[in-house]
Amino acid sequence: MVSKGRRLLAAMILAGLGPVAPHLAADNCDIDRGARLFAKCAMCHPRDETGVSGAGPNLAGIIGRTIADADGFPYSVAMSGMDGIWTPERLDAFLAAPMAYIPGTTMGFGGLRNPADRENLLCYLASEQ
Amino acid sequence: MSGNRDLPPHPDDQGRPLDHNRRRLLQAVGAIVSAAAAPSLHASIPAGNTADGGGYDAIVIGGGFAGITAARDLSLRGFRVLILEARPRLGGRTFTTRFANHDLDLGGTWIGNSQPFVWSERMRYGVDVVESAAVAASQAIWMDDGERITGSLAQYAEIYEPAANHFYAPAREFIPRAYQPLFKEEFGNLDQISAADAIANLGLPAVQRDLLYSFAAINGHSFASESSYLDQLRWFALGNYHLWNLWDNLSRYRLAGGTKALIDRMAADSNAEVRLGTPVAHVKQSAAGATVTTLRGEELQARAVVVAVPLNCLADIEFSPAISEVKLSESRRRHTGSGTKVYAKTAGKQPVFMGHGTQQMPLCFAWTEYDDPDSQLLCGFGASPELLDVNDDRAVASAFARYQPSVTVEESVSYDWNIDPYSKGTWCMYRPGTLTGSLTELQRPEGHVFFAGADIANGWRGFIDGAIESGATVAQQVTQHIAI
Repeated sequence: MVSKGRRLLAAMILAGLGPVAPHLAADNCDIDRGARLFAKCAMCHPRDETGVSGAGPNLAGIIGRTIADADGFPYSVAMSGMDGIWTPERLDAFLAAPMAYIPGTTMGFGGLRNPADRENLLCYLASEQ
Repeated sequence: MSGNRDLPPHPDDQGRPLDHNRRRLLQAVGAIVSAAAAPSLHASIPAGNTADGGGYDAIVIGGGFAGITAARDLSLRGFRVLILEARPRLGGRTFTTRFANHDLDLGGTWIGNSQPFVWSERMRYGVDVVESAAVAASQAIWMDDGERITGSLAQYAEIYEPAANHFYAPAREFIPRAYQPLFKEEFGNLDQISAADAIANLGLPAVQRDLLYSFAAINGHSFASESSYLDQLRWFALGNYHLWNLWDNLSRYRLAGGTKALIDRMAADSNAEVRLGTPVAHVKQSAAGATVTTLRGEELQARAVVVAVPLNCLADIEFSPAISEVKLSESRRRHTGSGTKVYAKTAGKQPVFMGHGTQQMPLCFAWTEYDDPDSQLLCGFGASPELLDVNDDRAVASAFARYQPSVTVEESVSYDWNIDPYSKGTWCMYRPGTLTGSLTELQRPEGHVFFAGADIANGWRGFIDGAIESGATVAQQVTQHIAI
């Protein structure tokens, strides 16, 4: 699992991100578990090089991307109003409680309460597609 | 078809006098139908519409089955129709996605052949049906005072069926016409008491009582104490007063390719313009029609507006003048549908089963929906999100393990209809008092504004069938409103 943790770190470095929350930099994240957890996201979100969105925006390369930048996707007013990029910390906070982190988001997802789940999912999101 | 000779004579041919308005309507519709058959659909805009593109005959708010039906029917009559859908997809509280190599429906899923509106649509468009694996379950699982019991479906039915028939006993007397729920007019206290009250009064042994609480919970998608007994009784009438026929209409047939296969065909058949990702903020009426203002501030004009949003979301749109207080208060009160639905993909296989638990369990019902070669997809329903975090795979696994203790869950998926701002709930069943006190008012048009949706249907309310019934009914109302 060491390489997977390094891959996440590498992705964050490539994205030009600063210090990351300690648990996100952990070397022991389980990318296979993350891939299975992504099934929940994949109900709405494509994640591929086409960049085409579905019921949710395409998540290809989401870590380091500008928030609400998927071409043509009708984001909520709340999401459109967010500045900056998706850092691992922000994604972690968002995925823990989406409607608390961005009140007014229209994403119909209650959140992943388990920190280990979020860590594994972020690990998967940082991996190559 | 070999011509029209099998069709009943047109009412005109029977020498009935037509009143003036009716005659004008028929003339108008006849002209529209002729125009719609012309090669250019753009030439089919009926007289009276603004041909400069500045206005619509009808704007339909909401692109679920009700809205799509209304928009299709109106546009095929030649009216210029715009659908405004808040989400980036059509379907409303139906949503077909891909999971484990299946077209999986996260919302409304099953239809039945006692559901005339959806069955007709799926036959018209040639959408096949497939059956839930649990129809041929080799194992029934139920609970007796906290103990898990397994047996055959016949053994389970010996306990459950007489209890359910006892629960439904007043249905024939009080709901003699399934599609006219208020036909009887006098209902005693049946709409004032909850399903739980009724069950408690039956004096059944605990095992049967608990099965009924759970059955009422899955049907109302909330605890049995939340739903009106009378509204529960309606389902038995809709199922032709036969328990297993009711079940066949609740959980036997799925649409091949999912509900998306049908709604996509209906939308493709429509000439309505569709704008996705366009929530509506405001509907303002004037003498000639209405102005619809989107959340992003765009103003759109129409002669009529069809509000085809879930009941629970109605109060989130601002109307000027205000719509009736009954509509607003029922919207804020919310219908009972607020539970959970979750699918789990297993590693390896268990017997194909149908599980009927208690309403306090994380999942009050669970069964095998897809029986694949090396794994299965289980489907479960729970009375409340408080009982199960549907996004926690471990919690979901242990919820299914209450039915199949040795099951291994690899992945699970669900959709949080309760927190989605464009549904704010699941399917509709009414709380005590709403059916007799508010249904008629919920259906009543106000000026140029018409109301449609599964949540205010007369028949299979809360179902895809009811959405289509309501959308088609309102399309008729709007046709009369703007053609005369």
